[in-house]
Order: sequence, then C-alpha cells, then structure tokens
Amino acid sequence: MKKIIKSIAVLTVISVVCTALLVFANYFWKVEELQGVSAELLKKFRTLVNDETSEFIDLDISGIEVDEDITNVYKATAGENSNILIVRAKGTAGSYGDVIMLTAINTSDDTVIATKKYIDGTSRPADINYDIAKGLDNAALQEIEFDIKSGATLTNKAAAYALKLSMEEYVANKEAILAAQEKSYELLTVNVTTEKALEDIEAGKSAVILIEVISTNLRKANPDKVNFEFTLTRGGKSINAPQKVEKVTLEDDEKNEDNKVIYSVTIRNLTVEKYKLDVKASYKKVSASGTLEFTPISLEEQVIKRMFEGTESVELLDTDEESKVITYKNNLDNYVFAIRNYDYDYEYEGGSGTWQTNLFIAFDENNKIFKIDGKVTHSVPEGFDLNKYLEAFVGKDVNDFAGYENPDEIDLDIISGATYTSNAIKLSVAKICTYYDSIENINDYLSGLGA
Amino acid sequence: MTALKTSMIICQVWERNMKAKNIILDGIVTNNAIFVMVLGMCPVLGTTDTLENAFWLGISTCAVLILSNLLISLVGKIIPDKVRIPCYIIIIATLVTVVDLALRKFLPGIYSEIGRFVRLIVVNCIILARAEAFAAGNKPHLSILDGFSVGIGFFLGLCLLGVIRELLNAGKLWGTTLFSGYVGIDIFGEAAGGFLTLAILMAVFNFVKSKIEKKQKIRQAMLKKSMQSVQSAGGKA
Repeated sequence: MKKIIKSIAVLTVISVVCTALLVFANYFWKVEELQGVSAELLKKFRTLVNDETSEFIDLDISGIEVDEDITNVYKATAGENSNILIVRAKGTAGSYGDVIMLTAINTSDDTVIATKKYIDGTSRPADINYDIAKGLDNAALQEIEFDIKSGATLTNKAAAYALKLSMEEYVANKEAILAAQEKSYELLTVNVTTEKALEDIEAGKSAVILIEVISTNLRKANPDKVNFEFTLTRGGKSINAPQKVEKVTLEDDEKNEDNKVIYSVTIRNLTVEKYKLDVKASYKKVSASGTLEFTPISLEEQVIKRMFEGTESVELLDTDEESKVITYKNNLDNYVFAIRNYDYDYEYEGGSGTWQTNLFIAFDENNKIFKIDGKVTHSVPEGFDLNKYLEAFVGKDVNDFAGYENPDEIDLDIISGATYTSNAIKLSVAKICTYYDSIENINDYLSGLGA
Repeated sequence: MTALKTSMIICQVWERNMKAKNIILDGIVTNNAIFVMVLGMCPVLGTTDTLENAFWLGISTCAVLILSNLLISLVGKIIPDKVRIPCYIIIIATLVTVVDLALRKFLPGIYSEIGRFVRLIVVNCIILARAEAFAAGNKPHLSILDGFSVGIGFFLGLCLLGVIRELLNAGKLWGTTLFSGYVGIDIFGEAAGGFLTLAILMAVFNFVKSKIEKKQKIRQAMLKKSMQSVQSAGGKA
C-alpha cells in the first residue's frame, strides 16, 4: 500500500513540476498563430526571389476586380529589391485537382522574376521548365508554349494557366494592386454605420444605427454570439446608451461569404448636438470596437441650407398661432415661411393612414414664390419626385394660392397616383401664401420681429 | 613513498579520465546511435535531406538528451520502479515541448521544416534508452557527459548524412550552391537516397570502428600491464 501511495505521489509531483515548467515556457515563448505570410511561405518566397533578407506582406485585393483564381498578392517590403510582387494563382487540372503557382514579378519593368509550383494537389505531379518564363513581360509570356510532358498534361497545363493568369491580371490591375493596403487579420471587426446617410439624420427623430460584426475565424470569434457594450455621449456628456440590440436578417449567401452579422440599435429623440457612440463587441477573449459620430440636423436647417447656398445657421423668428406658419431667417438674411408637419389623410388599395408635409417657401420682392423646398412623408408611388413637382410652384404669385381652401380650385396639375400628396402640397402652399398675403407690410413685419 | 603516492593518484585520475573518455567514445563511436545502434531512424531519414535541417534536429535532440539525463539522474533514485517509465516519459515530453516552443519562437523557418520530427523526439528510443540504461543509475555529471556524447554522436551522424545528401541532391551546402551547373541526383532528396547513404556510411563507420577497437584493445592490455607492475612495486615496497 505504501509503495502504491509513494508511486502516485512521485508521479503527481513530477507531473506538477513538469506542468509548471511548460506553463512558464509557454508564457514566454508561445507563438501567436501566424497569418498572412507564414514562416513556411516566407521561406518559399525567399527561395523564389533568391534573397534571404526579403520580407513580404499579404495585400488586401478584395476591392480589386481580379480573376477569382488569383487568391493572394504579396508585396515585398524589405530585401535587396522591394519592387517585387508575388502572385499566388490557382490552376485546375480537371478532376485531378488544383495546382497553386507562385509567380514573382518585378514591378519596375513588369517582367517575371521567377515562378514556382507551391502546391500540387493533383495525383499526377510533373514539372515543366518554368525557367523560360524568367525575364519575360506579359505579352511575351502569353505567347509562350510550355513543353508539356506526357503523363501529366492537365497538371502542367493548369500550372501554365496559373502562371500566365498571374501576369495577365497583374498587368491589368497594376495600379490598384500597388495601391492596395496590407490585409487585416483581425479576428473580429466592428463597423458602425447608420441606416440613413449621416447628413439625413434629423433632430427630433430617431436614428437607426447598424453594427456590422465581421469575423475571420468563426471558431475563435463567432459574430453571432457577441456581447455588446455601448457608450453614448451627447454634446460631450454621457447619456443612457441604447439597450435593445436587434439582429438584422441577412441573405444566407452574404452571411456565409463574409462571416458577418449585422445588428441594429436605435437612438431616439435626437437633438441638434454632437452624438458619439462607442461600440465594443466581445466574444470570449476576443473583442473589437467601433465608433460613430454624427450631429443630427434640424429639418429647417437641412432644407434652408439646400435653398440658400452658404447658409450656416437658421433662426426661428415667429410662429403664427392661427395658421401655424413659421418664419425663419438664415445668416444670409433670407426669410423663409414654412408649414411644418401638416397632416393629411390618405387612402389607397394598400391601406390608409396619415402623412405629413413640411414646406418651406421664400418670396421675392414681387411677392412671387422664389424658392420652394420641403419634405413629405409620402411613400407611394415610388416614382413621385417632390422636387420636380415643387418646380411648378416657382414664379407663381402669392395671389395664385392665397385664400384657397379647396385644392381642386387651385390651378395646378396633380401627380397621377399621388393625388392625396399633390393636394396636401397645394393646400400647404396655400396656407403659407394666405399668411404671407395677410401681412400688410412685410418689411415692417420683419423689422417687428427684430430682424 | 611520495613518488608512490603520486603514481597512485595519477593512476586514479587516469582511471577516472578513462571512464569519462570511455563514456565519450562510447556515445560518439562505440555505440553511435545511428551507425551502430540504428536508433531514431525516422528523423534520420526524414530530416537529413539538407545539412541545415539535420543540424537543428541534431542540436534539439542533443539538448533534450543532456537535460533528460541530468533530470533523471537527479530524481532517478526516488522514483519507484512501477512508475519509472511514465515518469521518464513525462520528463522527456516536457523537455521536448520546451525545445519545440523555443524552436518555433526563435527559428520559425527551420521549425516549419523539422517541427514534426522535433515532436517525435519524445518517442526517440535513444532518449529513453539512455535514461533507463545510464542516467537512472549514475551521477548527474556522468549522466550529462553521457547525454552529451550520445547526443553529439547522433548530431554528427545527422550532419554527415545531411552534407552528403544535400551535396549529391542539389550540389549545395547549407543552402549555398557549391557546384553551379550541377545536375542533382534526385533520389538523394528522397527517403530511398537516405537509406542508401546511411547504408554506405554505416559500412564505412563500422570498418573504421573495428580498426580503432583493435588499437584500443592493445592499448588497454599495455595499460593493464603497467598498472600491475606499479602495484607489484608498491607491494614490495
């Protein structure tokens, strides 16, 4: 019994000591998994370019329209000659498998430095004399007939194809390839964007924020199971961050291709202040961050900036309690009269409800409509062009609309298929014109407002 | 009397030196792991296609051998017989993993070529054999010496094979072309060429070894005679 206990004790002690030694060694010497240019690949590259001091980076060619058989392009960053690209291309030898070729290209004279078979996945490997490609430019290379050995015809043809394709695609996309950045191997990437364009985010409304989580290794960083931490500031002050995160459904193909999941959060009741949203997505020990900054713009500012180039600020001068017409002035001393959120009901085969018009009008000295712009929540038909419709109002006199309460009486065409909206716009214009017409002396009125 | 004492001390030192010398000769020549014991054939054939690979595998094996001999000689007496082999394997596997991590960290290019063979050192018969046959029953300094000599024997054998195979296969040495325009003999880059080279070297080695052993026997006989004469002189005195 004593012997057994002693045996177990000795074995345990030795195991513990050895484990401690391994933990210690692992702590200091653990090598992170190499991605991109691995040591093995670097050795092949150095042999290919015959330079033991050369170093390479893997370029991100995802945005360049190269043939799909070009899988990677590596760029020399150090060594005797840094004007070198190595193109990795695949050739398929029918049902036998694939051949992967590495082709080193001198970017200063666009000639082949050397080429080598990297992986031969075919069952009939055989070499052809690749040396004849050395020093050739694309035109000369494409003319070459390689000496194909019998017994491995398809393999050699696949290799020759990959070699020629490498050079052809390099020449066709040289500028884009040379301008490409190093490929990122972050396990997790977070991109924060908004559903609308940043300049369309309006104060008083909500903004839907889209968070795109992309993984390069589903096992180590599953984008489907990340946890989020949000930090939201408004005008530099911390406010409550959005809590409800929803997953945006992606097409299956897109999801499989990019290993990405898109989430959305909504920030409500926006004000005209600078917002900053920091997003941190974590999966186990892997995390990534993204930031979005935006300043919602008020509708009046948005529209008046469009109407008068150079507008930097917009001031609300007056709101008429009875007609609800609002008077604005910009920093260029332009006066704009507006109807905001004028509700109108609609009915069509697909349903019914209430939409709103927001119309802004500037009049000239002759009491004619000088500029008109706005926004409607109208959504059907898709072909309805508000700006085009509003053009018909430009140059019309105030009296053409003032006092009208029935849109049919206003002498202006309506847009077929958008009857309710056309009529609502006519009535909104009529309300503004009626108010404007009721002002006896516009200059006195404006000066009375402190303008 | 003083002369006699001095001669006795010289004899003892000589005897100790002879023991150390024997250990060294035993590991490198008499019981060379590759050419005599024919051990560790997997890495011998797998990594000796180039001198560089052979060199680093030899160094790795030598390091593991020296350290495992040292550790096992230190703890050998406290390890019960029943768990002897598991304990040795744990110690050897730990050392191999440490060497593996170090190689991967500091020589990634070499590691990509010989990494799989480095991991196989765990099951290399040479290591376990020296642990069991020598280190477990000897003092640490002798165990280190034994590990060193056997390791160097293995290392030199690998390098010799590497030199010959790389030269014949590619006309290169340590990746440097020595004979430009040389058309390589492809078979020496394959395992078959490894076997062929090994067989020839083994024959040459054993031939030379037998010659050396003959000379050693004569020397030993002479030494025995001189020792006997010194002892008899001491008895008369």
